[in-house]
Amino acid sequence: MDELEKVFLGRISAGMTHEINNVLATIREATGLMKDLLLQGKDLSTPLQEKLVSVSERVARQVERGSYLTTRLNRFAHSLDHPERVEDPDELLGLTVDINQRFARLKKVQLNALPCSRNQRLSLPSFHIQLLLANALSWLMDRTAGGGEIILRPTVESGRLTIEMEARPVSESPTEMADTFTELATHVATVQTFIGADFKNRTGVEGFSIILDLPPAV
Amino acid sequence: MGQWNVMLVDDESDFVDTLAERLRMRGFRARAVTDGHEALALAEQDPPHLMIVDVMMPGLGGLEVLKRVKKTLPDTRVILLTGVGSTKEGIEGMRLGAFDYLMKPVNIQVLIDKMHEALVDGE
Repeated sequence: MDELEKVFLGRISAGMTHEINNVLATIREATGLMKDLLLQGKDLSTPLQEKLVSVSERVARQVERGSYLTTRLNRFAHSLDHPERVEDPDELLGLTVDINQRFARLKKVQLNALPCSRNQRLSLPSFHIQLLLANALSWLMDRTAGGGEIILRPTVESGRLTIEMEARPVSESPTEMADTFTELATHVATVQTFIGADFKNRTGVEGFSIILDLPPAV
Repeated sequence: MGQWNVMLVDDESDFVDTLAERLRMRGFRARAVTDGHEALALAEQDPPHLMIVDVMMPGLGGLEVLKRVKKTLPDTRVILLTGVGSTKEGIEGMRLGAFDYLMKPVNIQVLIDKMHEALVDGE
């Protein structure tokens, strides 16, 4: 995808998520008003009133959920229209967890990010990092045992960001994993070269880690 | 706080009308306006204690409304409502004199607490 296409996609997606959020805000207020009206006649409380209040609360909860998701999608969309963004690595990985959570849930894998060792903001090619992380996570999820966990562990050293993705327990032997890991690295080689990132792997006692190493921003 | 005069400005009429009605049910004198220019004209005729203004509006945007209110009605407090991805505008708004900013959709109780803070601050 060239830069012009990326910016276009980012701009349209960001604009649409903004509009969807306006719709959700209106639904939230309308449901809130219904609840206010129902609760006005407290002394006339009937099972139907109670049921309607409970339904309006359910709608409000789903609006909350929808709003959170659109906010995250909006943030992801903005990673497309800015090739380099100044980011907090914790925020970057928080977004990674959110946008990959559904895939993890389908594989019955827990996906979590640990906080960064250092509170720092870095200039990062966010979209390409998300692309590499999503590919690596998808590959790891396919090899993580059901009920297992993938932990994202960021570290920053002299402006250099390293993200370890550790899966445990894994469903394949370490040798098999190390062999097929080469396929993953080849699959995303162009993007790695583009942002100067490096993918490595490490076999642990119970699990398997992929390490994404990013060069310091120029 | 019985009759605090509050003006809500947002181009989403369903949203702003409903929110105004909910605030009226809670004792505020709340008016809903869907256009920045109209809001400024009405505010000059009957200055509100507090304005709740959406940042992203066609025509006169929320930040411009804020700037003009701060010039003509310095006693009026302004709370900005931002959408997703508009946090930057919210921060800019505070630099321009907004009391605070809240992200839509906002919980009514969170909004009312913030309104009280702003109104007490303005007394």
